[in-house]
Amino acid sequence: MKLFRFILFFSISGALLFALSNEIGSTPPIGPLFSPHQGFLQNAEKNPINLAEEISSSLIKSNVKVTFDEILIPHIQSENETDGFFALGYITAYHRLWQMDFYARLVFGRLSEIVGKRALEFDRLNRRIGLPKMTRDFHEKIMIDQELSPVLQAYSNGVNAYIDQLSPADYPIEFKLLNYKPEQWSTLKSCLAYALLSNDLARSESDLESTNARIILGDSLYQILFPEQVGNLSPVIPSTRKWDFDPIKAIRPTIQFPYSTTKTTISKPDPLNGSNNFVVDGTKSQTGYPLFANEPDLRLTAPSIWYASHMKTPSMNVFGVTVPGTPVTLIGFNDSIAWGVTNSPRDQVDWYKIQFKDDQRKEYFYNNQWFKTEQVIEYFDVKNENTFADTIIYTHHGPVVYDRSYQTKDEELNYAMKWVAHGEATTFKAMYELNRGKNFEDYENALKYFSGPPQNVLFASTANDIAIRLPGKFPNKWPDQGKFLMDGSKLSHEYQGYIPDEHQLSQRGSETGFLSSANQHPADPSYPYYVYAHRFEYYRNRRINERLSAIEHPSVSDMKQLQNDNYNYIASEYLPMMLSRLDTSKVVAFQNHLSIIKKWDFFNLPGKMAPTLFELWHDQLLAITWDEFDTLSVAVNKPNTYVTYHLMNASDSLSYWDRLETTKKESSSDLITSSFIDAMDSLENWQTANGEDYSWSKFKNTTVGHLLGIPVFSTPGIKIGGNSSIVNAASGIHGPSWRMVVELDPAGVKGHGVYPGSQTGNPGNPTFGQMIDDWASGTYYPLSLDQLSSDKTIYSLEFKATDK
Amino acid sequence: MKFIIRLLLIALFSYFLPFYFPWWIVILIGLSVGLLLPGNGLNLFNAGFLGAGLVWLGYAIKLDYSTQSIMSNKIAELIGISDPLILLLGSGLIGGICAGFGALTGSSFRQIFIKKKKASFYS
Repeated sequence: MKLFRFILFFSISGALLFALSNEIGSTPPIGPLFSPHQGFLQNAEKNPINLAEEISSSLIKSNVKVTFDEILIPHIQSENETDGFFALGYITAYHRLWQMDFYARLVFGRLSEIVGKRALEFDRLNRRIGLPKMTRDFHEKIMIDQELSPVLQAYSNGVNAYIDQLSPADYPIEFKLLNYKPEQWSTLKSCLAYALLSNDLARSESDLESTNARIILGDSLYQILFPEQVGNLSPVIPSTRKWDFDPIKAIRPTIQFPYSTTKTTISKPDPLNGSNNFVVDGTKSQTGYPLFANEPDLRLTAPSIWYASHMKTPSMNVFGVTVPGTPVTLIGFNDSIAWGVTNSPRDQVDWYKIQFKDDQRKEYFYNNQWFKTEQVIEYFDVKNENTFADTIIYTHHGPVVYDRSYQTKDEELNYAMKWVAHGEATTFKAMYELNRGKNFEDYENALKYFSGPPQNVLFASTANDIAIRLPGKFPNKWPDQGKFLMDGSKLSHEYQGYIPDEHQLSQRGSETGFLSSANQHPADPSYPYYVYAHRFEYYRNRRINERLSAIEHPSVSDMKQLQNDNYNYIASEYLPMMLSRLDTSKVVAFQNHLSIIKKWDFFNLPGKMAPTLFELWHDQLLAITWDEFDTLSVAVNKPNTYVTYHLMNASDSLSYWDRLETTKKESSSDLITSSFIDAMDSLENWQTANGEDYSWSKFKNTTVGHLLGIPVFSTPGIKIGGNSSIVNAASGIHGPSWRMVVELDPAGVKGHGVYPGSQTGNPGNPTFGQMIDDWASGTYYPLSLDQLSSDKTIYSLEFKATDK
Repeated sequence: MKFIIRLLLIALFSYFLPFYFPWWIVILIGLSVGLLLPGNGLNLFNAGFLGAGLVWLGYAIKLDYSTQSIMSNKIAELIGISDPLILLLGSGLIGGICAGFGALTGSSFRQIFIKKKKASFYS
């Protein structure tokens, strides 16, 4: 009996221990999570900063002072550079450790280890396209650099010093919810930003979709629907630029592109990833010295993609933002210069069709011979599942991403990926040199190390120099090379070299007194090299250039205002055409809506109704215009908004697409009228689900979403105007991820900045998401290179150097 | 009196030890007290349940109050609970039940141990 009692109670205790320590389904272990000593309550913070006032380390040579301002930006003062980077690593980890771990896992294709099977296909893609290898190669190259390797080492030491003193109670909440522990950081992981950003910015392509479209449409219709250039480009490099060099000719061979269609293609970077930057020189600005502005438009995430910091050492005084985990400042300014980037869409990914000798896939055909492949088996330790193995075949072109075990079951469908980003890269070196740059020459020299992802790197200095350059590695392609699937067995389909540095796109100074870029065409057709991308921006660039021309002498507030400009350029072109062709006799039931839209001034302000009406109408118009594309069984892209406008505006009778699948010969007026009626129906449906008020910000519902999609850590319904292709590019889950304006005053450089998030990544910190409202309203915070005054300091601490 | 001592001991250890050991130390705390200060079942369970439960609940409330429920509000919403107080009660309940059954396990173990020893001595 007594034994039975013991066994009973022992079993109950054991069962409690087991049930509360383990995950049940997707529920994290209840015991540790609910323990007040270790669980989620330990992530609730009373004060904005919870760090000791003194942190001792034997890994630094001298003491480092860190002060935090009202938005928790660390101002790091150090007698030598490496100690400063140690402190930056420590503080960044304090604010963003889980995010850093997440990014490292993303780049190394290891997310399925923590979230399970749902991330397996994503991990496989990231390994197949080579993100881990790119990061390792990048790391190897950086670590032989005498200047940079100590920087990476010190930063990484700082991150590990932070991790080492954590107890499980201190782990960020995401570790607790996903039930895993932070791993050690490394200099390798500190290189993650190169692959992460290359993947977000330089992997956009439509080679297979274009191949499909050309096969289905035929070449002449394809050229009409997908032209490389149309209308006013308003390019990055002003059209006044003369190219006084002899270009190296890329000879187009007489070849045939492979005639093969592809059903489904790999996922692509978000098409909305883009940015704006613009600068006015001292002759144009109201202040007499350059005014500089930059904002990258990316997915709006919590924690934010950017982490802001200010570091002052005897060799540099730099303020700006970087991707957490990265020591160098990617966008920022120092006491002499400011720099900022926007993505330059260039076709950096090409696909080569591979012919294997047999299903062993040990040899492939190239230049009339059989060459050996390399096979690498990748293992995925999927959480709660068996380890998954994926064999990836490498050819000299690159990894065979599409093969019988990925995207297709077709033995004959093998496509190798050639991606410029796979090559040698030293981009951190460029940024590191820029961080310490003093003048135009330093900028020019720094960018020699810039390997990509291709960016429009804008520059201004206190010496009243302004410039823009598009550095990186660009294959010297013949027209159409890499635009479509190529034949991997032919020598003639290979690149014939790269565009020499001295022939790359650049512009110093400006006749108009300003320079700008917004992901549009880099140059007009006078540039003697073939420049291709499947998608360019057509609207933000024109708006920015028109505004900068119109404002005679821009002030700092003009610069801020332009960053927050809500002018809907798409509507300003489309709407007059749509209204003039609308058959009003068929829409009498919607007179109120129609009169709202007729009175609209094209500004997408958050409280207005008209932008919602236009958006619904325009989306529906494009959807029914290109509905033929929806019925195709292979992957294709639809013609873009700008091309559609030009085609529609040029002719009311759209004979081009009638040839595809429509039975009735429709005019654009028919499409415009029926899309208006459809749009009013969808509005009614939306109102039934979401309430009567369909003002623009309500409808658009701009949301800063947590990286894991956890709704309670996200901020929905932000009251902000704009949209994609508007300078204030805030759309649903995408938008300006860091707005920065810099005054290049020789008496003291001053910055202004804001981003939709907070320095802290902890949802339990009282400052979590603290900048979002100011970001929405266009309010900026001062970014000062001076020592932070005590009334602006909310916390200060010191890293103390100790003996071993 | 013994009840009060057990309760206080369990309360004391349940507050301090989980700062240094994993959460399941409360089971061992209950178990140790049950082993060293044996008593009848209900009495022991109550000492464990109240000792650890009230301390965990109290500490949870203290953390939550001082941070204006910033985290408990979010976690409650995340798992679909209307009142974050339920989460705090959950903390207390987990601590209490674990310590309570731990105590019962400890004392029942001692009882078989003692009886066997006696039996072997007199036989």
